Amino acid sequence: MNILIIDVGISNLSSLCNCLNFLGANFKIINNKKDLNNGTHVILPGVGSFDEFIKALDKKDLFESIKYNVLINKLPILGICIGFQALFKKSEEGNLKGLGLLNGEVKKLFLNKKTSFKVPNVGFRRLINFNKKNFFKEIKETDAFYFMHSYACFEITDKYVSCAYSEHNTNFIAALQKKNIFGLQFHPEKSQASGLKLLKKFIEI
Amino acid sequence: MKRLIFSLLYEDGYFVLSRNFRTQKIGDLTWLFKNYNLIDVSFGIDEIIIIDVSKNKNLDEFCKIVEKISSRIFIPITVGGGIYSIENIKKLQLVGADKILLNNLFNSNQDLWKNISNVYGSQFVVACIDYKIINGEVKIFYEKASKISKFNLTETINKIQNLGTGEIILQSIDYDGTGKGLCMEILEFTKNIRLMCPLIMKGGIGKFDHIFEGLKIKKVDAVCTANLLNFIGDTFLKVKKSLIKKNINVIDWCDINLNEYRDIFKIK
Repeated sequence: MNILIIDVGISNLSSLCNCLNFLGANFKIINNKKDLNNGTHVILPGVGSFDEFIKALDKKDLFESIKYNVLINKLPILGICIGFQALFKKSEEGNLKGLGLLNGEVKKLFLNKKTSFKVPNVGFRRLINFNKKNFFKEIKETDAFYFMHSYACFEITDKYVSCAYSEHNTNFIAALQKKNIFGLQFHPEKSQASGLKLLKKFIEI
Repeated sequence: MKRLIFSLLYEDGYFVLSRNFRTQKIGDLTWLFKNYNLIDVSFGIDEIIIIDVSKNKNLDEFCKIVEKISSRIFIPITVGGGIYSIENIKKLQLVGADKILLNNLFNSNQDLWKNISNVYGSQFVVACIDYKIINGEVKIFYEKASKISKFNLTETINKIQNLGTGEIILQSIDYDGTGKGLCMEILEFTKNIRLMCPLIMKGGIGKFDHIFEGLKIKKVDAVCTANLLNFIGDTFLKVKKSLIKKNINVIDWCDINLNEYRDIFKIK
């Protein structure tokens, strides 16, 4: 096992590293495409805005090589927060193209005066409408995950994808798996035991 | 879901208690770890805020403190106090900061505030508004409550939301550290303000009832306490259990047996 964590320079990696250390996993932080060939798993964590994130990927020459390794070499990838949004084709937040590994569009969460859902969506939330299989096998209805975002994907047109949703004015995709592609809109590294369970599941693939 | 936030005030090598913004040394990092087993504590709280109120700021020292705390807990960490550049933010991020707390920057450099929010996203910015209610009017203060802002509460909240803010902490200077309960009166003044992001109340929490009193209000998303002495040991876990009993929508981390915790997560 050799997990590669992609560092684009604007993400908080230390929490994720602390989690992987806790789980006893082997990992390495990388920031160039050369190192991408030696991994068994890749994690794309992120905070920041969509365009800043894509620009940073592009600048490090990682944009195409991530796509290649995921699509051709079937490298398991886990996108977290902006790193998850970057897997989609595009986002309302920016003008640049996303990695396009997932067929969907990231849109802004919206306010509705009649409800108490706010934007940004910050805090711990539960998951709904998921099948307790594969990636979500260990997840309980009572598990809670830490969200910190203003944008999300509401629907995906891919086949063979399993999703877990979270409530907002329109329910959005909180987590998904499409074959070797995994995405989490929330921060597993900030979600205590609930998040550790999912990270563990991913690295055991 | 509602959140319970624990805030640590760090001043020149020590964790301190604050009362009306005057501080008193309590203990250093060794003291903190002795009195709070952070892995256990993090099952009772949902978030932690670490604020550097040092007179002689030493960012590298502060980073070491943040790093030691962040390596032990897997909940969100907000860091604040004297953050006046993107370089500082980068350093703090490296040691575990998930969000940053801004306060004085609103009065000194709104462009930088906007820039931070553009680069990191508005969810990265937590705004702390320090206020006093004087003769039925809310006055906003900054620089450790030493200066009065020229903006009123409505203007401040509207402007910081426009600059890019993910959460707003309303901190009562008069209630700070008194342990007499949160200043609920402030909610009368926020009634007509369009709050687009989560609201956190801070200042005055001394016991469980105060936490309950704040969290039961619909528009209050979280409450924050910096009371270093009243929640020692497993008190937060008990608070969390009591909140759940009283039907407050908080997370129950407590159904996990702490001793089994490490065993569960041994990788196959």
